[in-house]
Amino acid sequence: MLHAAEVRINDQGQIEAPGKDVRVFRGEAATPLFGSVSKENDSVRFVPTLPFVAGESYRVEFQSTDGTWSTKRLRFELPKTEKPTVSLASPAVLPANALKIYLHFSHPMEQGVFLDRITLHRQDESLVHGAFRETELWSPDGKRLTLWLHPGRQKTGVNLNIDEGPVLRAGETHTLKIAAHWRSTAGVPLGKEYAFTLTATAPDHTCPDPRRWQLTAPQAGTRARLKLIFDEALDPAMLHSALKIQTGAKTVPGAIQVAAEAKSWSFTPAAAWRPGPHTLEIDPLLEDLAGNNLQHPFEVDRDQPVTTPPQTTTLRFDVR
Amino acid sequence: MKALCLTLFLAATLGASAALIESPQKGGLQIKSLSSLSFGPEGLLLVAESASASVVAIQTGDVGPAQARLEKPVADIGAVIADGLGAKKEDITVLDLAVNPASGRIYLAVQRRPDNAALIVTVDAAGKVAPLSLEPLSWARVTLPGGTESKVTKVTDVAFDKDRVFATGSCNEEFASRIFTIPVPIKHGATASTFSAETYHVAHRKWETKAPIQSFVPYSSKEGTYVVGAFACTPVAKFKVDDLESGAQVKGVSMVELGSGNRPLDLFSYTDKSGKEWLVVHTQRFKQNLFGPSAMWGARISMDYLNAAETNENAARRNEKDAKGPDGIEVVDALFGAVQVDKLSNTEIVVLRDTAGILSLEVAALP
Repeated sequence: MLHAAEVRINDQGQIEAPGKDVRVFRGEAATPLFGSVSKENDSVRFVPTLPFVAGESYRVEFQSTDGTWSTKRLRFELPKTEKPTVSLASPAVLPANALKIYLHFSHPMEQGVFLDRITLHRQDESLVHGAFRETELWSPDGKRLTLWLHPGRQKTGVNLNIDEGPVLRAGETHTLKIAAHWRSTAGVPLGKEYAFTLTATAPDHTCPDPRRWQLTAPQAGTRARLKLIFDEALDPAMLHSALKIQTGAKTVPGAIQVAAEAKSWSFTPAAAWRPGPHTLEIDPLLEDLAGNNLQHPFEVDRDQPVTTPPQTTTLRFDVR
Repeated sequence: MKALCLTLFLAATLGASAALIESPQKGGLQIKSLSSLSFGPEGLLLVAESASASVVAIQTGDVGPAQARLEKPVADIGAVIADGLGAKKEDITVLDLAVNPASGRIYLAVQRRPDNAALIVTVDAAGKVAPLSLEPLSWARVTLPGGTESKVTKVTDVAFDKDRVFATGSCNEEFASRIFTIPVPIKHGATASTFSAETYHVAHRKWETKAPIQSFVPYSSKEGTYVVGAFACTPVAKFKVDDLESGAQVKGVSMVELGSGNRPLDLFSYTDKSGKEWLVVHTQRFKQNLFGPSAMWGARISMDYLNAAETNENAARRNEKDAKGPDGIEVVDALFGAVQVDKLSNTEIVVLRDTAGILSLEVAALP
């Protein structure tokens, strides 16, 4: 007769047991876990197809060489990791036709549930139904969620926009709520509800125009920050990759900072500025908060005369 | 003897599809995430792997004969999968379903929470659910331009079409649509070509400049080769993809609109007994339910609508409040409640159906 205590989990997360066969179940499940069983002398090893889950209990049934079955229960404790947190990584003041909001989490989060975990509420606390586009878009590290306000409601004249109105109402505040029970991939929940206030201003149908930006050129021989002030908030995520400084054909290496409200941007060079002409190169796909980029407004009304966007994608400045 | 036969069978079948993959890798494949599954010929499984901004081609060796058609429905398959993955039923999502046309075997892309672990499981004729063992299989991974630095963080769909593989992607910063092409044989380590797509949105007389394609199907006619795509906001459009160079922009032509409040999930085409071609759009209605027993439904659209030329301001628009019409657009009853669907043949589909929160897998007839 075998002793249940002889069942153990090895360093590779596999279950080893004495005897000739083993089956592993989650809790009281009727069907065993997917995995493979290998035999070595008088013991067996179960390798799960997917790793065991922290916080779960498992039932190990193992068969001794005389054919009798025994059972042992194992529990994988939740790791003692800190609770995840979430912050709003988008301006809290945004046009009523804003397209997207970024949420930054401190840890990678479980996926496939964001529509159940995030709600948007009007000033009177009523729920905004169908506020978000259903496509789930995470950054590769699983920490940044791009939350699209439903384009079908944010676009002028689409049936959803007509039938149910835009997600955001100009002149009103809204509350974005993140549920406390949303877990990190380690199984640890946020532990408290997060609420972020969003204030909607008038809709924005105009392309960003770099000619309206204020650029403060730094002094040569220093590592002073180059400062850029926009006349409107721009997409805070795209600002990390859409602007670069060049001198001649060379890109100046350095660090980028984006202000919290995404209305200014600064660049600190890795080495002291060299005197001479420089350019700020702008990705024409850079968007403002309403999805208007340097080439096209997000919506083009075909019944209206065509207005050509500014198409300025370079700002020149001299370092002296 | 049985083991030997199986080994010989696998060796023969893996060799048979070698021409579809160039420089195949042997074993060691780990799938980081799953967003879409699709089959090419000879058991070639295409996997959209968003976490690595890649398409992975796998020679499954599952090349037929076509004897794995599901014999009877599998009740509460969600519980079976959850037990196998060691998770609660509510912590499992079936992200996609693909039927291997060579064998009829069903492949499901499954995600487990909270760790987001991804697994492909198969369902055989008897309804037995088992994980797809990747270890013995040959494969190739092709990254999308920019790789993990790309702003395309969701590969929304992937499909095989004769001499190339198409994939569509959604950006997590720009509101943009991308179509990718990968030449066949699929070369491990290669990079896909890309072009951006825009189409005309007949509902509001605006250029739908950048809306992401949710799902698509390759389609060839005497006029050329098209990607027929469905957007997150109801229009179905075609994009001519002959002679396109990487980086080009292609304008789509609207075919139909399914009516506001509908979100297309999946597409496939088939030919009915009379020889007429149809495009089936599997759809989720996210507004108030106006007809039928479920918010999950589907319609078949006559391929005649593909004949629309240029920017089609008069593309057919379905009235979302009506179960019928216009001509050539018909509700497919078998798709009510469908969470996932794929074509089994020109007469049957495989449906993963949600009935009051319980998932079942079954074969259903096409009209």
